[in-house]
Amino acid sequence: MYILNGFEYLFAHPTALLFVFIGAITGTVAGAIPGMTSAAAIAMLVPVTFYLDPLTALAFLYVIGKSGRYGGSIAAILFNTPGTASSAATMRDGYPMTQQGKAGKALKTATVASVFGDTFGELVLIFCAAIIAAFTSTFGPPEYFAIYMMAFVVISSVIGKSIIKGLLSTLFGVMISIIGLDPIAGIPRMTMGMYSLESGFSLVPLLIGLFVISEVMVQTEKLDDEGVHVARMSSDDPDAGRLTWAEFKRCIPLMLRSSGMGAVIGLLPGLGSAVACFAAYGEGKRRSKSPEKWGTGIVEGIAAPESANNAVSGPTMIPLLTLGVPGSTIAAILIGVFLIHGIQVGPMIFETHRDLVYGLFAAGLLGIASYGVIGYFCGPLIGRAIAYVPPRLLYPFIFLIAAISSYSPRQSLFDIGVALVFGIIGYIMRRTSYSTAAFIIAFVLARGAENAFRQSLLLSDNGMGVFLERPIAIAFMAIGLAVLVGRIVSDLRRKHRHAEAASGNS
Amino acid sequence: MARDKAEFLSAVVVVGVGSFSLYLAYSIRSFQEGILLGPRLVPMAIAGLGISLGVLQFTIAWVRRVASGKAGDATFSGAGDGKRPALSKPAVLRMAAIIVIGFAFIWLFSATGYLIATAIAMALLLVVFGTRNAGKVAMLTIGGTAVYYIIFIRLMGIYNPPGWLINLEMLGLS
Repeated sequence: MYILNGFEYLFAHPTALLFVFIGAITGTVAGAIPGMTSAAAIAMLVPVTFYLDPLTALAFLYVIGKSGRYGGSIAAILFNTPGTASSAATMRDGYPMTQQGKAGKALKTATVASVFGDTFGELVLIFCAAIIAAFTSTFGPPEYFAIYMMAFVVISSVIGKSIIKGLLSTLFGVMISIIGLDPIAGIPRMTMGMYSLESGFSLVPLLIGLFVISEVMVQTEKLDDEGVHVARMSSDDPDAGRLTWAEFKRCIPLMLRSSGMGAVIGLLPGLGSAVACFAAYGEGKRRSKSPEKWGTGIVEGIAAPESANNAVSGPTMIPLLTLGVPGSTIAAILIGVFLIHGIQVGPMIFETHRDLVYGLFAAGLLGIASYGVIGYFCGPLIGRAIAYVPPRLLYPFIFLIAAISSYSPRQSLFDIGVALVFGIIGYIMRRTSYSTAAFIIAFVLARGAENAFRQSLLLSDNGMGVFLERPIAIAFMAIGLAVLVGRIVSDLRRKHRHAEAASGNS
Repeated sequence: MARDKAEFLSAVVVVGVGSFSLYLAYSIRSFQEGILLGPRLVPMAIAGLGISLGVLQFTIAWVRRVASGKAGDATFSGAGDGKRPALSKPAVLRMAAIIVIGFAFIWLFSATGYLIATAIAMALLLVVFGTRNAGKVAMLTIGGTAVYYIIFIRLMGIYNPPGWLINLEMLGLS
């Protein structure tokens, strides 16, 4: 099996093993800091990976993404603040358990469920990716253009509360991506005569601006708040600090079902962990024999969302590796890292870089084990350490790391300015409910989409009709349209229900 | 009401940005490749779509404003759940200060190199974020700057340009 070759390839790179472990610690801590997401941590650490070999670089960032999803549960349980959006559902039962003195049990439940779900998702990735890639390797430029259009429409439709704002966020990302020299004609486009813009915007400063600097600005709003406080973490109950075997057995069917939901959601571009955790929580409560207990502090209320949100991680790599379409912000960043190291993502990657791909999968499995061990034994310690450092000391350091990280890829002061400007833009987008995730995914995909479009026209004698001659291209566009229409219908129904409820109450 | 105003403003900004983008896109030089293959098509299409969506957004905000008793959940609903608290003046001033410090850091980096730029920016940021103890600010500034210098400049080898105003190369710190 190729995964065994992957482990062999991974163990032949001791640096990669070290960085898997470092990534597990980094992601767990970053995810546990309220407001600091794993995407932000990855954005700041991308420049570090320029000095590493491809496997080490990708494994490091991939494991940070995984452990960051888990780390958010620490903040959710201990501080009643989700460290990441994907842990918002964990708060509902996690913090009540902490208030009952069962923080240790809650953290261990979150750790076990996260490892369970993440492993499930990783196995889905390992067994399905190559099969899908064999099918997609027959695609040509028209099919790829259709896939990109589907991705744009789906991501616009499902991210956020407003379809129009999702579409505008996507268009904005495409527009920013276009700035620079035209890839075919070599003509400056929309550079406003600025020489610095002729090479276009670099991904890293944009990421840092949108995710790190905008977050620093968000945190300045909260400086007058009391800061995080850890409730008491002990109780007289001898089992308060551990997950018993009986509790674990009770959660197994729930974790299996939630992991399955998470894996399916992970396959679909744009949905992500935040959707998975609430979907699993809601379904778990609905199927429970005692739904009234959910939200009062039960282990099931942690197991369901945590296994679902971590099961998303592996499958989000499937559209990335098989189609070159990132299904999440972290996947969009990883595309950039692949390209920096000269590796073209898409179905052929399983032929041209098989060892690297399976080495990355092996690193994922090892990373899951690493953060599982770290979280199981050190979760409370991490929580206490984070509570000890107030945000007013932390965020100045984060801001300056962001500045130097945006400078380092091209050694360009202009890029620091780009990060600052997009920090302001990112902050405004967040306050006005536009989607920074849709923006960055569109930015990453836009050039590929335009190239596929123009290549399709060059290959065709029929102009735009080429897209209607290919059944697979039509199918992908139909999927995108169906998701958009489905979202519109869903919004209309919701509006109708609210209107009926309002007229019933009046 | 505040949310409607935000929606109007958002729509106006979108139309404005879209119009400016359309102007820039139209200014792109194009050769005789046919419009479909030329470098202008995608930029103009994106700008046009953006303007259209901005007009649609404005129209929806207008309809919501005019129609009575329709707060929230329109089909293309507006600014999220409208529950984001208003910004306080101190928060706005802090944010403005952080951005100014960021741009000052760029200028200082060019003028004096990484070490001095980081030290000054770090001290100012610590004060803006609320650390008032002078000793603590000094200690964190010196320690933090040293750690960052060692990690980014010495270990990672990031290029530290000689400042045009103060050049620390003479001290071996560049």
